Formats: sequence, structure tokens, C-alpha cells
Amino acid sequence: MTHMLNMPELLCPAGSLEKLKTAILYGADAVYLGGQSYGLRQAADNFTENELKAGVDFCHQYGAKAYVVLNSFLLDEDFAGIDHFLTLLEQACVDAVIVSDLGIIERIRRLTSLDIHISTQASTLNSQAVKLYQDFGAKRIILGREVSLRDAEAIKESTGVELEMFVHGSMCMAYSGHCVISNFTQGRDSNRGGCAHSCRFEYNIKLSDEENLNAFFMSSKDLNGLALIPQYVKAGIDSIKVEGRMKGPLYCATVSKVYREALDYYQQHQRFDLDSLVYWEEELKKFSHRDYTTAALDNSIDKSSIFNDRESSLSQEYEVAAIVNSRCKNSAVIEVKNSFTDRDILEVIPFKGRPYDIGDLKLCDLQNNQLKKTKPSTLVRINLADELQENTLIRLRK
Amino acid sequence: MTFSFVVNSRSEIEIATKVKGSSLYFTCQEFSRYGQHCFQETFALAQFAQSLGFDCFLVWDLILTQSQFNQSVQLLENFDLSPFKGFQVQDPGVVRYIKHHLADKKIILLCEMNHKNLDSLKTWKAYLGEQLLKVMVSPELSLKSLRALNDGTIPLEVSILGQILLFYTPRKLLSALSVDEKKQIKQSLKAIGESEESPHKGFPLLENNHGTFMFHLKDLFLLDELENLKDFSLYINLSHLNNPHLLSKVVEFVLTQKGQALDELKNHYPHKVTKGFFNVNKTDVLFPKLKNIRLNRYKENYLGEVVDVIKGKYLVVKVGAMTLQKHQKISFISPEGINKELYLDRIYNLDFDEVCSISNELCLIPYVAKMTAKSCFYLTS
Repeated sequence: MTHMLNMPELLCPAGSLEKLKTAILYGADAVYLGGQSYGLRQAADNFTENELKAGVDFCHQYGAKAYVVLNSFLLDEDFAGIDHFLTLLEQACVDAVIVSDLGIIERIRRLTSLDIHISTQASTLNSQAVKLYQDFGAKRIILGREVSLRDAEAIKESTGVELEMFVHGSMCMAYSGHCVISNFTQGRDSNRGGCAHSCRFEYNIKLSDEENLNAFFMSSKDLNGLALIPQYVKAGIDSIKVEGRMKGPLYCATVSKVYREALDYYQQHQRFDLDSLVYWEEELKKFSHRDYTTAALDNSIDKSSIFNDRESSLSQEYEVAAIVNSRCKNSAVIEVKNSFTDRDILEVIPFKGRPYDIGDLKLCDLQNNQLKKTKPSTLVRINLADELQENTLIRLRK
Repeated sequence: MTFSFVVNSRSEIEIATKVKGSSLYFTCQEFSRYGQHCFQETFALAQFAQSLGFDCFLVWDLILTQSQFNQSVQLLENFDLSPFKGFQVQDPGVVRYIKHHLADKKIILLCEMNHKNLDSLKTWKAYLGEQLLKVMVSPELSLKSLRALNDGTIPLEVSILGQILLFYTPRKLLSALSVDEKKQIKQSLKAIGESEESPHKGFPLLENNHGTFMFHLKDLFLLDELENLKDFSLYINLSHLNNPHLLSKVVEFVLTQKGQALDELKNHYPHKVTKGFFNVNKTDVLFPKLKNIRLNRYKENYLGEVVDVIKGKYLVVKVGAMTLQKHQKISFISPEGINKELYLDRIYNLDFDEVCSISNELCLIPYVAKMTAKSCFYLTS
């Protein structure tokens, strides 16, 4: 008889209400999202108060959790309105708040009974740091991306606290919270949500009079810890986190689905089989991404973790064609994200099971006029309504 | 007004003796990001400074993973720390370690990029009590913010002369580029970086055993603001210049505060200088421009957005949590800023059945010219 492993929670990004639903429906156990202020993604859609309540309700309806980020390092004047926002979060029954600033932590403890998760922005890398935040009432610590799984296991053993670690997505090259390039060069405070991604620029580096070269030397490859899930489990990590509130729905759906399947498979079999692993890794290449690295997870952070290429060079094998918006009378209405024709072969990404092709498309506008080609940001009726659930993604090979 | 100097030699210590009541910071390769000496050399310098009556502090400003932390502590336990009154630290784990294991040592908390509000500083004070000697605050703070923070709860230290750190990573970014094998095994590498995509050119870069650091191309220079900073401890770090003569000139100015000495110092200062954000910090004013500010979903009367247009006939709209009802008067704004109003006499679902109200769904409403996808609409009555 095999015993069931304690598996980590799968925590996915929710840059908008639409992406929150996508993440949950494709398998996330929890999502993290931001309100209009106090987070680190000022350029993201983020959530209005009504959307936040709706988002939390949606998560709870599916037995999932919703965490709200307030992980900026604030100036005194930034505190305006925060008491109201904290009250709103408590009333909306959010499951925890993600924080790095001690001033906010203190206020949360004083005004609410919300659970506190310490953001990776606090650069918590060792057990003493974890204990310090425990002293401040933290329930969970999100370890910095510089922590190896071996170190994480040691931290878990010595503290017993809930630990969260990143498993997938873009990475800061700097220690999180320890980069102010965009503050001083672009006038945008990276630690209050305005990062201009100066680390992704190409730089001319003059090492000496003889050595002068161009390089994207500060641009990190993207993290991919899929194959290391067994080590996350062994280390006793409570939550594995996917980065990417600014990323699109295809990323959100694919990553949530792949990691859900991998976690479930590992829980059931206590190992990965090679075919599945190869399939999942291939799926993770089907959206725009930089080359992958395991970074510090397996102690191998070296020059191979530097992306050293132009952002515009990122390949994208697939793009999202449409999202199923609603079903009605023998058809589904889809919201077109990228143009396609009735001759294209689209792939449906179901919430469970492998993606499958749909050909012989019959496309109509809302008034049932037949279409040969769709336009982005339009609503289109398609056949195959019985098979498609609301919020299902349809992708197109480029 | 008190002064703190980072010193790396006996001659620099001797220069600092002229500034009565000043404190000295000592860096070393084992514990400090930019340490030049090994601990034993640093220890000897600190002993010398202590004999001259200085309060000496060891800079332990690394951010440490568990393995590095264990190594650091193991090293520290073998060293004689008697010349040091305390540590300048930033890793929260190091802070806690000192609180519990070196309770007789003072803590100077380095908050160069974080903890920039009074509530945060008060929380640190409540946690560390008298062991917290002072907080070295971020160079991102304006004078206005500095004054607001300086309410007497905790002594604050302000950097007034030295490099501005922009970026700190544990990764070795320069040796990764160098084809010169010898350079790759050196203890430190220096370089200058510039990008076509940035308006600023010539960022100093340093790589050593602790990682890679990028600095502002200009040094922070606030010596002409001493009058405004008399209630603060003032921090001077010229380690990157290795120039005791320059330190001597700085001390001369600090003692006399005469304009002539300042001019001479500015003329001889080897780098370009900046006041950073001392006068004003507006690094949040661009935030609204990161999105189309016309399309405000945060208004209380926000109803939804246009997702498709059937020209001349309908707008397909996505209604949010607020209910859209017949007979409401609604106003639109397009992404380009065009405003329109509509009295809503009809609402249809996607099967073109007329409905009286709808929320959290798509529906069709009468066409409104010039309203395109992404236009927002609001309740006006």
C-alpha cells in the first residue's frame, strides 16, 4: 500500500479576474492578486474592490484560496487608504495577505486577523530570518529565489513554519527588493511597483581597455522547477508559486494545468515517468518564455542562468486564439484574442486531459453571419459547443 | 550632527580623529560586500582605532542563504570581536542572530532600499530595543521624508558622500563574460556598463566573492546640505576611491564648513556627483501613465467595458458586478478619451432575447458611435 504524500499547494498568479478564473479552473489551489495599490505591479490590470470580492468568492466556490499582495515598501504618504483596504480584505474573506514592509505588517496585526505571508521581496534566505518574521506574526514565509531546495529543507526542519518557494516564471537577477536601477535611471520606483526592467537591457561592458563587449548580462533566464517537484515535496515545501501576474491567459492556463497534472501524478505514483515529464516540459515551451533554468534550486546558479539575449527574440510556438465566453443554443461564444481563419487548426486546452485539435471550424458573428476570418477583440460563435466549457482556452500554432 | 566614516587604513583612521565623536565602520572580505582586507587585518585596524577612542563597527551587510549564514556564523565564532561595539547589518537573519547571540553588541540597521516609513522603523525599534543604535536610511528619501522619519524614536544615519548602490546580486555576472581565465579567478573584477536603452552612461560594476554590484554613475554628494542635516548622523564612505588625501579634504570641510573648502573639494572630486532624491522623490508619479488613465475601472459607478462593436447596430459589453438595467442613463469613455452618453432603452442577451437587467455577463446594448473595444461605461443616473 502506498501512502499519500503531503503535496504542496499550487499557487498561481491572477493579474485580472479573467486570469484568476483561468488559473483556478486549470488547477491552481490558490491564487495571488493585487488591488489598485500597495502591490508591485502598477502596470497590471489588478482588481477593483468589486472584482476582488468576486475573485475571492470564485476561489472559495472551487475550494481554492486567494491571497492579496501588499508587498511594496511604502513611504509614509503611501499609507493613505490602507486601513480601508485592509478592512475590505478582511470583509472579503481573503485567505492571507502577502507583505514585506514591517510597517504594514504591524498595521495588519493591529487592525485585522488576516494571515500574513512574508513576500519574497523581503529576501528571507535563512532560518534566523524566517524566525524573525515568525516573531512578527507571519504564518508563511516566501523564500527568496536564491535559496536552494537543500537549504529550504534545512530551514523547514529548524523552523517548522509554512514555506513557499517559486517554481516557475521570470526572475529578478538581483536579490528581490535590492534593485533600484529603475528608480534612479527611469524615475520609476521598482519597490513600489514601477520596475522598468532595466536588467533586460543590452549593456556595453568595458572590462578593460582590451575587453569591451555587448551583453544582456543582467537578464536572468526563467525559472522552471517542474522536474524538481520531488525535491520540493521532500523538503516539505508547503506551497509552490508561479510568477507572472503580467503574463497572458495562455501562460496562466498552461502553467496551472501542467503543474496541476505533475503534482497529481507525483502524489499518485511518487515518481515521474519520462514520457509525462517530456510532455509537460514541451507544454511549458508553448508560450513566450526565456530559456529555462533551475537557478539556485539545485545549487547550480552560474553563468548558465544568464539569458543574455534580446527580449524580442523570445520564441512563441503558440498563441491564444480565443477564450470561451459563454455557451448558448448549440454554439459557444468565444472572445477572439488573436486572429484566425476557418481553415486554421485550433487546439482546445481542456481543464482536464490533453489538448486536442478542432478542425472544420464554423465561425459566425453574433448575428450568425458566416465568417472566414476572425478579428481580435471580437465575439464569434463557433460550433462544438457541447465540448467547450466557459473560460476554456483555445490556442493556435503560429 | 555626528559623523561616521568607513575606513580602510591607519592613515584614514588618523584623519578621522580630527572629527570629535565620530564612529568608524570597518569592512572585511568575509562579512562585508565590498571588504578589501581579511578579517585579521581589519581587526588590527579596529584595535588601533579603539585605542584612539573611536566606537568601531563591523560591516556585516551580506544577504545570506542558509549555507552562507552557517559559514559566516562559524567564522564569526572564531574571531575576537572585542574592538567592535556593534555591527552594521541588513539581513533580517543576521539581525536576529545578533539580538539573540551577541546581545552585548549594538545593531546599526542598514535599510538602503527598504523600510522607509515611520511605522516600519518603530516596529524595528520595538523588536530590538536599546540594542538598535541607529538606522541607516535609504538614499531614496527626500529631505522632507527624512525629517518626517526623524521623530526622535530612533537615531537616523544618512549617507552624504559615496557611491549609490543600484543593484546587488549573488550571481557572478562579469566573470561570466570575461574570456580571460586569469580574470575569472581574481577576487574582484571591475567594469563600466552602459546601455543604449538608458539615458545614463557609465555605471561602475564590481564583482567579488559575494556577487555583483552596480552603482550609480554619479556619487552621492550632500556636503553642501549639512545645515539641513544637523539632526542626523552623517555617513561618509570613500572606500571606492582609495584616496586618503580626499578624505582629508572632506574632513577639513566638515570641520570648517567654509564654502571655499567645499568648492575646492568639488573641483577635486574625481567622479560626477548627484544629490539623488534629496530634494524630491517623484518616482511614483509615472505610475498612472503605465496604464490608460482614461479607462478607470476603480470608480464606484463603473459598470463595465465594451468588448465588441457591431457597427451601426450594437455594442457588445461585458457587465461587471454592478447591475446594468433598462432605463439607466450611462456614460462612455473611449480609450482615446471620447465621451458619449446613452439612455438605455434595450438590453439583449447573446441570443438577442431582450432582458431587463444583467450583471457579470456579456450583453448587447444599442450602438454608440465612436465607442470601440475597451471603452468603459459608467452609471450616471
